[in-house]
Amino acid sequence: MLVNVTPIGMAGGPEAEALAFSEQAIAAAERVFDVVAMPAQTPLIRRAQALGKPVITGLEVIALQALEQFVLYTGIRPTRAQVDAAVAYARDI
Amino acid sequence: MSTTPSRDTVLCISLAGRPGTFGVRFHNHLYRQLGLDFYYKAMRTDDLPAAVAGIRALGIRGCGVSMPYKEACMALVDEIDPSAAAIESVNTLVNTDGHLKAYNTDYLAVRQFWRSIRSIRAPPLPCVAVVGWPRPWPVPCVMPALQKASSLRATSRPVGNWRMCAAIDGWRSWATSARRCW
Repeated sequence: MLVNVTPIGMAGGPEAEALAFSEQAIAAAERVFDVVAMPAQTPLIRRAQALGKPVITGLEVIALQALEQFVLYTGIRPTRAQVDAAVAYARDI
Repeated sequence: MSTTPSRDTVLCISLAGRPGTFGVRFHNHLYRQLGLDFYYKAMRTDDLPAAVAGIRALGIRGCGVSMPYKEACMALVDEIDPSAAAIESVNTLVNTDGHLKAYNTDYLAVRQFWRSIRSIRAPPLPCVAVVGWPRPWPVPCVMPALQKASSLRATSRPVGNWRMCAAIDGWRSWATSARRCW
C-alpha cells in the first residue's frame, strides 16, 4: 500500500499537479491512500484509479473523522445518507 | 430549526492556525438535518491556554483542534483518550461538565479504513510505503497502518519545505527516522 502524507497534489499548492510516487511505484502498489483531501481526486488518486487500484481518498478520511467528532459531541450517529449529504454540502464551496 | 443560535444553543468550535470551512459546513448541516440546537464555529487563537480555559468557562461542548495546536493542548486537558495518547496528538476536545477529554478522530478514522483493508487481505501484513513529514495532521492517519505493518519501504528526499521519510516497523521507529532525516 502506498500512503501519501505530503501536500503533494493539494489544490493551490506548488505541487498540485505532481505525483507523490513514481509511476512505477503506483503500478506496483496493491492499494493507494492519499491523505490530501482537497481535491479528493489528486493526481495520485487519479493515476491509481486509471490503473484499477483500490484507493482511499483524503476526503473519505476527513469525512469519517468529522463524523466521529459529531458523534462525540452529540451522542448521535447519523445515517449514511445524512452523512453523505453533509459531505456533499461541505465540499461544495 | 432556526439557524440563529439562541441562549440555549450548544456551541462547538474548532481551533486552527488557518481555519477551514469543511467542518463548519459538515457539522452545521448535520445539526440542521437532525434538528439539533447546536452551532459550530471555526476560530483561531494566539493564546491556546486562554482558548481552552474559555471552552471550560463558556461550556463549549466540543472543539476540533488543528495545526499548530495538536500537541500543545495535551497539557491543558483532564483526560486523554487512547486514540490521542497513541500518537501524542489531539484533534478533538469534548467538554462534559467542565471535564475536558482529548481524542484523535483522525486516528479512529484511519483505523476503520485499516481494519476494512485487513479484513479483505489476509496475513501476512502488507508492506506499506509512506511519504511525508509527520508533524502535520496527516500523521495520525498513517499511525494505525504503521503500527500494524510488517515492513515499510520509503525514501527520503526534500519536497519543498517537506521531506519524504523512511518508515520502519511501527510508527515510533518511523517518527524517529523521520526526525533524523529532517
